[in-house]
Amino acid sequence: MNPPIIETKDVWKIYGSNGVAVEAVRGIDLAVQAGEFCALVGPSGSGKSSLLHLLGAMDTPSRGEVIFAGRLLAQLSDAQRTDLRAREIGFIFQTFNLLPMLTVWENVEIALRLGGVPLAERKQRASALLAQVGLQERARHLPSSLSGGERQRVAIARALANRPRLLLADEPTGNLDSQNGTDIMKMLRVIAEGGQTVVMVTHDFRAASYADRVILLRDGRLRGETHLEGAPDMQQTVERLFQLGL
Amino acid sequence: MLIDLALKYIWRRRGRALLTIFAVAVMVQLHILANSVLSTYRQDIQRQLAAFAGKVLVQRLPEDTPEGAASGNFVNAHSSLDLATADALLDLPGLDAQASSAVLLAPLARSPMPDTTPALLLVGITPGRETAYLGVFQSAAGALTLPDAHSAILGAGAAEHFAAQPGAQITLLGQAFTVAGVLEAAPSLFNNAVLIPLETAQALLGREETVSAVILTAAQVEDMPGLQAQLAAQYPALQAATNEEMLRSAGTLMSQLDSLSSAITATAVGVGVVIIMIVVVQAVLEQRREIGTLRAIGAHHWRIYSLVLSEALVQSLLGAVLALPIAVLILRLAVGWDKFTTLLPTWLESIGLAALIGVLASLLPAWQAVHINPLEALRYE
Repeated sequence: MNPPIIETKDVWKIYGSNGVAVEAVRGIDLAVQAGEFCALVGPSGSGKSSLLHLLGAMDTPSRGEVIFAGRLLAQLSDAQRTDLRAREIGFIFQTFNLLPMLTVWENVEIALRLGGVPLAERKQRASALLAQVGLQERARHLPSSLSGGERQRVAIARALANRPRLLLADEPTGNLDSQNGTDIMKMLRVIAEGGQTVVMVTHDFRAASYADRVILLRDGRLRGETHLEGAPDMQQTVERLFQLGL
Repeated sequence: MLIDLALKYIWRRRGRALLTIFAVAVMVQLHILANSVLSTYRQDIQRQLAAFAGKVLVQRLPEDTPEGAASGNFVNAHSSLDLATADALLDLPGLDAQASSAVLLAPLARSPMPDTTPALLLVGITPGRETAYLGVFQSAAGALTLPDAHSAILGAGAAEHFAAQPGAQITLLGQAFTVAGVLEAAPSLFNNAVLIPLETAQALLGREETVSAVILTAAQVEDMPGLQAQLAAQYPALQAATNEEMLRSAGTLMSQLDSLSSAITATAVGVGVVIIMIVVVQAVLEQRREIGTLRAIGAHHWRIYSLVLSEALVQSLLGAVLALPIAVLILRLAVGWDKFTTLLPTWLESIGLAALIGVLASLLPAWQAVHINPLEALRYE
């Protein structure tokens, strides 16, 4: 078996506020294999997003280890973690987080620029990525003129720009209607089937049903996990999660 | 670099950016104006003193004249020598008689700047000894000699003032004079001069028995120290100044001008930095989420710094570019000055100054920006 692309060992995240310690993540052990589509589900405050931030090198654990492709993140400098985010980890946010002053094409191109891709290649790749998400006709538009679904597709194109080894999605359907949510999940499914590792945080069981593995979190702890097979089936996903104690 | 993004951010806040650019332009033009005018003044003093090389200016100033004024200010309206003393001075041995003369000086028009050469200066001088005053400067048109009692030699600036060329008639204090010649462009003391015969000037000014000063030129340069010693021994009540002494005295004035210039520049830089810093700090606060996003998707600290620096630099440099036309406009409207080419060196220096303003102004907002936690970008609205 190949080593996991991302792994946590007894990882904790404790936030301190006004002298009160909040344990957002409590001793989670997790390993995600390359090419796996993994969904982290759980109620609000279960630690899903905190765990995702730790996996994405955007935050550092209070205790424990996060290992990305064999590298211990705690041993990396801020600049090295930034490089990691630029080249090897792609992010998709619930609120899209596109740069409003840049056009659709520029929003994708800037990720390539941060990844150190030469100009000529950037031009070609940005256009190809927009074609991949079906937005080549909207390349010159500003994000404000796009629908929520279109914005999230731009965010996916941006996240895929540097061909990252790991794609992290935080509630990617949270701000979308049902149809757009389904379209985005189908897109993520296709990306995962192409060999890309995807870790998604969601509280939407329909979205979670597109994953290969669903991991249940509650109160900062990992409560269980289930492997899904076949076509996305929300009913099956909910039943499995109830069996885990949702 | 993210300069394209910086330009878009500036465009988004274009109203505020325009005001900022204008404010910087006002600050920078203050530097341009002050330094250009002071620099022109400084060069003029130096050229005048250089033109006075090898000469001794003898004056008698009132007792309450401040120390240094005798040598530091060539044209002193309060100096007065009786004719007998002037004649005695001109009879001293070892003089170049053709280049020595009594002179009567009177301002005909004030300068816009205090304590500078008058805009028009009447110079009464003995005909045939015009070189005592004009020195090495050459004629631009006509002759630099006064052929009769009602002839005049004009400096280039004075000729422009009267719009007169050789042969033309001009009126001075109600009397007509014929222009004999026009001097080439020279420092203001010569440029603004109107030379007429000494006796005519005395009659015109009602000072038949006195002159303002005597200009003495040694026949040999090596005779200068002896001439000075003789003057000091025989005429202790008179102030005799060579150009070296005047240079020394002018050095004090120039040092004060330099201090004034530095103070104005420091003020311009300080105010410019504060203005841009306020605007860029505000911009960083507004762009917090976007900067957080950039950090989240892999923008290094230096890229964020370059973004903030670009915003500050673009505004400060555009301010410096705009400062030149403002300075030109102010000079033309306020004092009718048209020596605009003299502004260029200071303006070019101002571009560097504006870059310094931009860099200094970006330090605090850049520090704030690079310390934005990428998790900011994930906070849902």
